[in-house]
Order: sequence, then C-alpha cells, then structure tokens
Amino acid sequence: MPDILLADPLERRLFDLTLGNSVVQAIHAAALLDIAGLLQAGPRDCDDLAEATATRPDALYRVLRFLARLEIFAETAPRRFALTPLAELLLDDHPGLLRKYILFRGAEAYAAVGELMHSLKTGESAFRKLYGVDRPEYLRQHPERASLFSEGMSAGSEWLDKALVVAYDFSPIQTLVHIGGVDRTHVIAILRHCPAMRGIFLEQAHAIAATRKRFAEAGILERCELVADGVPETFLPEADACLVSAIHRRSDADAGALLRQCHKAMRADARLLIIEKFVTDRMPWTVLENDLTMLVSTGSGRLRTPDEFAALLVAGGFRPTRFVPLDAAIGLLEARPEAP
Amino acid sequence: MNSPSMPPEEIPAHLLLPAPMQHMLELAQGNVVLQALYVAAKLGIADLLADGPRDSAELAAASQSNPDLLYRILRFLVRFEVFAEPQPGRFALTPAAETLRDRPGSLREFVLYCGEEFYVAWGNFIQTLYTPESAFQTTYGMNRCDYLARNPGKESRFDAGTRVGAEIYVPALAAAYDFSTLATLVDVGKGDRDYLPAILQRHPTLRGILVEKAGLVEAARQRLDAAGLAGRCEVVAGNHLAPPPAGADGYLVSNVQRMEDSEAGQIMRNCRKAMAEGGRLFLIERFLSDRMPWTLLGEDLGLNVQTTGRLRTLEEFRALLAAGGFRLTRLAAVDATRGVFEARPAA
Repeated sequence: MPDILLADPLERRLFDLTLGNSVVQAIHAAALLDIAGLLQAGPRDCDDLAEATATRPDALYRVLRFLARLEIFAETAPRRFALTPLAELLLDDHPGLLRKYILFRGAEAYAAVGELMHSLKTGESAFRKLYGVDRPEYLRQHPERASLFSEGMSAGSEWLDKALVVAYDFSPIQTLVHIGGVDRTHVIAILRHCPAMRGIFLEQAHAIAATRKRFAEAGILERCELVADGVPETFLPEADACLVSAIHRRSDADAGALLRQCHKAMRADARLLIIEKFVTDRMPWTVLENDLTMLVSTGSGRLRTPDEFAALLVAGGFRPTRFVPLDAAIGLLEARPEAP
Repeated sequence: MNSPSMPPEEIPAHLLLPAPMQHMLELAQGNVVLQALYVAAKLGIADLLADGPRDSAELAAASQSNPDLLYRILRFLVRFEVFAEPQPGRFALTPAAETLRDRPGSLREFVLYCGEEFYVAWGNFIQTLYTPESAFQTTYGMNRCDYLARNPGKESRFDAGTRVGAEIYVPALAAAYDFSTLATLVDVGKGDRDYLPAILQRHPTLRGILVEKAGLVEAARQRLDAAGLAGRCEVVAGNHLAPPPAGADGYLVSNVQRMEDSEAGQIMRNCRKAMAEGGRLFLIERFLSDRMPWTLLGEDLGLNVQTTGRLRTLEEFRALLAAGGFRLTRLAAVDATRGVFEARPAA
C-alpha cells in the first residue's frame, strides 16, 4: 500500500489538492532561476546548476527532484537533470510565455490569493489589502512588474490567435478601434492577418511605450495609432469595428457604462467585437480559477456566462449577432448597435 | 441570430491550446484550489450542508459572507467534486466534501493549517534556495516554536495540522515492530509524543522512560496516567540533545524529518554512548521511495518551509545512521512512506 493514511481515494484526492501551493512555488523557483534555459544545451548536474544560479545544491536538488516527479524536468542520471516537453514551456523565449506568467503568479498573485477570505468577507481586493491599491494601480506604480504581467497574461495566446483569424472573417473591416488594454496579442494577430486594416488603440499612458515596441516588432506599427488615455467618442465614428477586450476586469456597472459609451459614438453600420473568456459547462477549471483571481486582484471583475454577456450587451444597446468559440472557454462575440 | 449560449462553430483541434500548456497552467494555479478549500473549511460549508442541499445565498447568510463571491468559490470547487451543484445556485455535499466536516479524523484542521501561516510562508519559498533558514523564519522573523510561544491560540491548529491521520498511523507503527523483545525503551524527546504510549499499550511487558522538557513533565505524567501507563513509564526532565538516561536496551528517536543531519547525528551518538550492550536504536519516520505518492516530495519542500528539516531516502537514512555510529538492520514499514527503522551499533 502506498499510504495507509490516505488509502481512501477521496481523501487522497483532497490531500493532493492541498499541495497545490507547493507545486506553484517549486515551479516559480525553477522559472525564476531559469533552470530550463540552463538545460537548453543538454543535461547538467545539479551541483553545476546550483553554481550557475548561486543556490544551495541540496535545496535545489530537492526542488528539481519534486518537479521531475511532475514530469517538469527529468532526472536522467542521479542528480543530473534534463529538459522535458513540460520544462520546455518554461524557456524564456517559448512563444507560450509561461515563464513570465509564472513569475507573476508565484509572487504578487500568490500573496493575493492567500487573501481570498478577506475578499469574500469585505468585497475589497486582496491587492488593496496587501499593497494598498488594486492591481491596475499597483502595476502603474511598478512598471517592471507591469511588463512582466502584461506579457505573462498573454500566455497561451499564440494558439488562440491562430484560431481567431481562421474562425472569423475580419477582412471587411478597414478601421478597427481597440479598447481595453493590449494584454493579449490577438490585435497583433488580426492586423497581421489583414494587411489593409488600420488600427487605433486606446491605451493607458504608462503602457504606450511597451505597446509601441511590440507593434514595431510585429511589423504593424505604421498602420497603427496609439492614443494615450483617449476617450472612445473621439475615435469611434471612424471605426468599422470596435473591439473591446478584458471586460472581465470590469464590474457590471462599469462594463455597462463602457458599452453605452461605445453605442453612442459608433456608426449604425459598425460592429462591436468582444473577445472574452466565458463560463461554460465545457471550460477547463483554470478558467474559473481566473474568476477567483479577478476577485482578489480587482474586487469587482468577474467572468460571465454567455447569457450574462448577452444581457449586458442588450442593456448597453446592442443586439448579439454571432458567437464564435475559440476554444473551450474563449470566444468572440459579435454585436450590432440597435437604433437608439 | 444564433444564441450566444449555443455556439454553432467548431474550431479545428490543432488550433486548441496544446495539452502541455493546459497542464502547466493547471499546475501553476494550484494555490488557488488550496485557498478555495480553505475558505470552504473555515466557513464550515460542509457542516452547513449536513442536513441536505442549500442555496448559496442561504449559505452566505449563515456564514456571514458575500453571496455572489461565495457562489463563485463553491462553483469552482464543484469542478473538483468538492461539493455538487444539483440545481443552479444550490449546493450539496459530496464524499470529498464530507472530509471537510468539523469532526475527529476529518481533514478540516489540516486544510486550515495549510491555508494560514503555512501558505504565507510558502510564498517565501525561493529564499530557502539561497539561505539555510526556513521560509517560516524568513516570513515571521522567528521559528515555529517561538511563533507558537507568542501566539498561544495557534497551538492546537499547528498540532492538528502536523498530526493529521495520527489515529491511523500511530497504532499501525506501534504494531509494525515487536518491541516485546526489549526490557526498556527510552524516548529521547522532541519527537512525536504519541509513539511511546502506543508502543507500551501494544507491548504489555515493556517499560518506558520519556525524556521531556522540564516544564512539560507534569503534563506528560498526567497523560500517561490517563492512558493507564503510569506504572510502566517514568518521565524524566531533560533535553533531547543532552545524553539520555543510560543503560536501557532500546532508544527511540522520532521526527528526525524536522532535524538537520548534524542535530540527528548528535542525538544518535548520545544514544550509542548511553545504551546497554546489545542495545538497539529505533527511528520512527517517513521516508522517500519509488512507490511513494508525488505529494511526499512536496511535503519534503514543506519541511524546508516550516523548519530546516527534510525527508530522506533509505540511502540517506543509512548514511545518517552511519554518521551516528549505527548500521541499519531492519525497516518495518507500514506503507510506502512510513516505518520503524531498527539500527545496531556499528562495529
């Protein structure tokens, strides 16, 4: 018997779930030390890795031994470690961007999740309790963490972006206005896919420089206008389509106000596009996890079911016309303005 | 229009998030699962559902929490089959949720323990890679013992958290080895206080000597008395690092998992000097093996968060015993993680 204490499979399962934080912290340690990067040229001894990272060899060995059991790294010979397919995801230049995601998840986000009970009891975000401000303000105050967060939150979007441009025909759109912070890469994917499209991006002032750099790297900067803290009314009359993202970071009241503002300024023949995570029966649990993360990081944000979204759109003056799923949890919602 | 809740269009499988990415995302979010369990355990949701399913609004009122937020937390836990949602917004117990009830032998105290100071200390885990001090020390500026001394209300939680399942493994370990071949077993102290009484109960001809901190001697006597062992077990004041009472044929050391090699080595050398000719040393410990569950390696890192201890492989136990002047002669294991180690003085 492996364990008399937890012979009951249900107790075993519950007990396993309580170890989740140790897994997060072990992965965080490996990501922070860039162990995957150090193994890129081939397997290395633990002592060698410890020297390269200025860590205690014994402590590092225990971390890697644990991760190897989870198939992140493999112990190919005693105390010698190699990359595995899971470990490759932690490479700094991996397009999945999971390393950056984990560097934020294991630090500020980890501490904030520890205050879930506080958010439940008070409705206040855990970020406010820990750092005195909600997450957006915290990121404004810590630009280096903001760029990590922004890149990390794009984890997995490479695949999403491929799905996006296949699933929806963006070609009739000549001018696209984007609202909501460029923390996903799908706007880049759309503009690269449609070489004639022009983009106008209403961006937070502190993020402009980083966004400009990313657009330049993607080769789309010359077709884009980046506007610091711009108001939708100024730019929406030109738009064939208005793309809003990250509505899940807004409360119902806040999201409703934004939609009404868009409705007022948009042309009658323009379309509203929303790319969002939705709560559905077939989503992975990690999507609901994101809902709880909203709770601790903004207090007011939330994930919504498609029906909740439809109600929000109708209240904002829109008629939902199409729903395109991009994976089990993320979809593109198309809506048209109703006559006022 | 097609309804937003009935997606008509399918996405080719090759465009979906690759399985390793999804797997890694799940691993990277495990702390949220623990905190959701903590909230449910702390609010006593499983006990509130003991008489049948209830609406989340009702549960929120009974636990004085925000209904919308509590709903979202419970909906999340349903995905792990901790609670069921038989109708929208209405929650029920599941077999896994039963283990969170507030009753002896449940995992509730353990989950509470994992979700409080221990969770916060884990947040500083990276420090244990750079310095030999525990993450608990880094986080709270003092070790566990000092922390408990200053926060007396926390003792029972810490105790329950570290001894989850004792009612199962303690009697199993006491029965795993035939201690009746000994005349006297000395418990050198600091270890798990349950083992010696359980061993004495199981082996009625054996006599015991318990070394206990001066301030705890009277409480230990009362416990032994209550267990009907007062006549067979002496309690002497002492320190686990000082030489133990001499001349016995058995010495018991436990919770070596909380000690560094140097500390364990010193205790073993003291035992070797004190023991009678032909005496034996016993360690009752958890160990690492090929058959262990993956969680044991996580608990090994947890020992580095709480203390400066570690879990050891059989090879590491052999080396530790050798450094203390002993050779491993037998391991009486009760499962792939726990056992009684018997050792005799090395030549």
